[in-house]
Amino acid sequence: MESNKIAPEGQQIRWKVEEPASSFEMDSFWKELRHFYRTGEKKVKDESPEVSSALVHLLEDAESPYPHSMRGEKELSISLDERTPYLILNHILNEKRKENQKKFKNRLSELITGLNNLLHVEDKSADTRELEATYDFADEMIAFDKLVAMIPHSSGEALPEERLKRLKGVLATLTSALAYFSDQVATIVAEKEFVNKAEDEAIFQHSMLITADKDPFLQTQQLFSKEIQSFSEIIKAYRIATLEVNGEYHDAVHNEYFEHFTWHRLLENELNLFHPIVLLIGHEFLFDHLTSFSRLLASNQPVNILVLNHELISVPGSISWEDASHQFRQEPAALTISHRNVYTLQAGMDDPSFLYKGLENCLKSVAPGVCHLSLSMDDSRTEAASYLIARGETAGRYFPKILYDPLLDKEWSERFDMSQNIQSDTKWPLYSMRASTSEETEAMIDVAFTYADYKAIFPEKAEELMLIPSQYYTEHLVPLADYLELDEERLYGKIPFIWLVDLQMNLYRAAVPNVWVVSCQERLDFWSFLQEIGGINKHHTRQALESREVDMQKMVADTKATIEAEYQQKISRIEEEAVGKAAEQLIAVLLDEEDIQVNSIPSTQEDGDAEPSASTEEKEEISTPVVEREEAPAIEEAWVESDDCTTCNECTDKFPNLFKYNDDKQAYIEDASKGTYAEIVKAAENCPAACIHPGLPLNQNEPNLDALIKRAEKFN
Amino acid sequence: MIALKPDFCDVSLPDANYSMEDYSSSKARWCSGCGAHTILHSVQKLCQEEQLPPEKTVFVSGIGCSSRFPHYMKTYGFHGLHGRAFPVASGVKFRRPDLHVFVVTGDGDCCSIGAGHWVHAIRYNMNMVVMLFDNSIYGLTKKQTSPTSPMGTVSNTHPAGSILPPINPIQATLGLPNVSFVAQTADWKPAHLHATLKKAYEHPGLSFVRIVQRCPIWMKDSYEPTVKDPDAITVLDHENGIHLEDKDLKKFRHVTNHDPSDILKAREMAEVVKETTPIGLFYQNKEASRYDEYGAHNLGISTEDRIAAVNSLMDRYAI
Repeated sequence: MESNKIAPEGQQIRWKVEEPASSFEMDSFWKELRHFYRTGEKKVKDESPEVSSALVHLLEDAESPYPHSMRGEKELSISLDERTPYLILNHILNEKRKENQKKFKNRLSELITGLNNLLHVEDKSADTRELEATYDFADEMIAFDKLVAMIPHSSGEALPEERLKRLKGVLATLTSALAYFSDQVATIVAEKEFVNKAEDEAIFQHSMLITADKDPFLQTQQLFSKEIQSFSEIIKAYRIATLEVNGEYHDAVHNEYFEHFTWHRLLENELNLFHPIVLLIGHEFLFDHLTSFSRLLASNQPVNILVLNHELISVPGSISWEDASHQFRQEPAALTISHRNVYTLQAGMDDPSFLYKGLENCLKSVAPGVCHLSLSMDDSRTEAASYLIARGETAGRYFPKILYDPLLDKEWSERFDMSQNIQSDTKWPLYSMRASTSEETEAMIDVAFTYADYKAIFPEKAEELMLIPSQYYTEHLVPLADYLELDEERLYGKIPFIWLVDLQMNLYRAAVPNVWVVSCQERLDFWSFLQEIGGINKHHTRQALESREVDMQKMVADTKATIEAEYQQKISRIEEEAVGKAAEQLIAVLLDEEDIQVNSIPSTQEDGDAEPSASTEEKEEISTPVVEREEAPAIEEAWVESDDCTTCNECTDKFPNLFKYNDDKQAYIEDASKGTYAEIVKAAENCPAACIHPGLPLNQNEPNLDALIKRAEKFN
Repeated sequence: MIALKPDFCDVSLPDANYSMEDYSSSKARWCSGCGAHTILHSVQKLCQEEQLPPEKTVFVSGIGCSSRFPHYMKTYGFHGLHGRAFPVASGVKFRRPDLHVFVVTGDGDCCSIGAGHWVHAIRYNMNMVVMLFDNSIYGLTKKQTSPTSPMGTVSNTHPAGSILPPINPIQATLGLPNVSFVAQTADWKPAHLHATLKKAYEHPGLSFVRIVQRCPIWMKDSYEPTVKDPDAITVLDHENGIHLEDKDLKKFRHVTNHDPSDILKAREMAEVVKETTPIGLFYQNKEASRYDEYGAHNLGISTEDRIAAVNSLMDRYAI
């Protein structure tokens, strides 16, 4: 968990607490307060100061992540505005373009040269032309046609017609593919307005911009089918060319294979060369066309969809989702995760490197990808910096960060990640706020950053709250985060509040109306849903742990009881024996008869066993394995200090049954029992690096063991 | 999901890595226990680590046990004339500066018949790695005294023991003009050997590495005490020297600090070989002049210009 933060120095928050008001005033105020809680109406509209959330400063990290610059060689510097996601996308696409060209274009050129060479063999007259071109300064002295006859041909026979046709076809495809890797790098489908704007501002210069039609999901699906077909032709040609140039193309095997070659045969790294298709779409549009959206995802085509959410408080002028009492928020991320095969990213602008990486992986992934992004920009409505608004969005669980990659297989915990959120293991992020109550004294207040606190960052929203003058404080005022945890019975009479400050940094408590509380509850529900599928607060795990603890305690108690009982038994028996022995000795001394004494000894030693003859046999049986067990740890197996091995082949050549090379080509003993101890000792003596340690013999029946052990001593 | 499992016909993309197998050719035919096996493995590992394209790498050798080396590398190689590894390698580097050139030579090949070329190769200081496999004996021809055999070595040419003091290749190289990199290592210290070769590869210029090498067949008596004695070796350690991991450095009993930029001190260190063999970087100067840079200045001239140049030269002899 992140450590609780304290408001930075200089942002001195002042908190004045006054004497309680008289009981009459108190009663009438609280009556009004309760009315406010239910209805959200303020009866008396007094001249209240402009207020906003007191907690927003706690979200500040050491530095603002903007202007954001990328790692080392990839130059990128962006500030936070409404263009940020496009600039990041544009940068990723350009990087991809550079990489593709670097990786693939050279190889293509090589293949084209290779193919030309193959075809060249066919073209005999070319030899003469080439000779003339090179040595034309000497054309009076040399008869080129005769010289050509003397040049040895690597292949005397003409190529079969079918192969010739194939080579020419492949060559043509590859030559045209060079263009594919030189110009555009992606296809972007977006609304007309956006396309115009992008062209004006020259953002996606290296991408083809297409205006979306009525059903852009269907449009994207068709676009993909068309483009991937021509792309698979290129890869098909590439593979044929590679096989041909390496002389590995076998008609019998490969003709059939390439006849049925479709894009489904493409490998991940090949698909990465494909120009991605990106659809830019608004959040509201998505939910209007759910059927065709879902169909596109189910087709499992690796297209990328950027869903831009405009229905947010942070987008000025938008109609944002705020009120859960009328409608629950629609969550695109939850929707796409439930499709199972969709790479899903949900991110705000507060962490540009997370966003960059998420988008980059989305484009790389061979699964369909949906990135749900929130936009935060400089906002005249609030004093808070735009990145703090973005951080508030995540912290207030309004727009949590989600990452789901279906291709990270095996474990759900690997595929689904929500740990990038602020304090991902708590319900709301917890902080400590410093406030000065008078000139000298300071108070530390534990606070939780809720969805209401995020909303109150905007003064126009904070206006909806009711400030509570400090003379009306009672224990019935409960912090909102605690209020949400209370049982139904204990809710009665309580009013939830959050902390606000005015422009002079005076601290207030402000009552929160029921509408806000319901919305907070809805956000918290979604957050718990994420936490549970993310493995935090898992009911099954908790239950399993509890039941296991009970089991453990019971087992410990049982074992303790058994051991106690056993010892009790033993003690009583020893007592009895001691008494018996003393009595026998006493009798012996009295009678002076040695026989009795001699006989009595074994019987006492055998723990009171009735039959001495049977007990001695038993004792022998037990004692033999005991001796072996004592010796066993002393047998040290032969081993090689592989790090020191010089790979000189001495041991591996002479005793290949014993010594093998590991991946670093340094020797080790695979199985010491596959050779004799004498062989191991000999190898140790011969080893120039003295890194073979023979240990002790495994087989005790080998001859001359004593001498061998002595020889081995100095190598152990 | 999409078919991602490679099938029989899939072709790897060009960013595929070179593996150790891409550098190893046939099985090395040196005697079992020979130190050359170690060096071969270390060099292959270096090529793999540095991802040297096999078609851009050349191993040039002369004659001797060591000089069989190019046969065991799956790169280009030139098994040359006795003592002439240096001029061949210099020629390769002079006209093909894009190639990675390695010279493999032995104590006979370099210090005896090839000594003249040795001197000038050091002075030319072309960018290449020279590995002197010094086992102090002619092994390929079954035990004759070499220029680096210790005094008193009994061999077929000196049945009563050799009578001349041996050449010290480190000392000799350090005495040559324009020398830029001199290091010494031992084949039975694989970590140090590898670190030295790596450092030599990274050096811009001719890096001369003498590798003290065991001959388990003909010089068994001479090397065995050295190999088994922990006091026989002193490591020259410095932040600019050969970099060893702490765990590897701890295996040595004697470690001395030596600054490889000080040539006078380096010559002094090379002189003291009485009790212990110093291994490490004696001297390095990255600023020394390189003759290959001079040689490469006219590369890339078009065929037409060359023909024109030849014609103008020929015209001078026209009558």
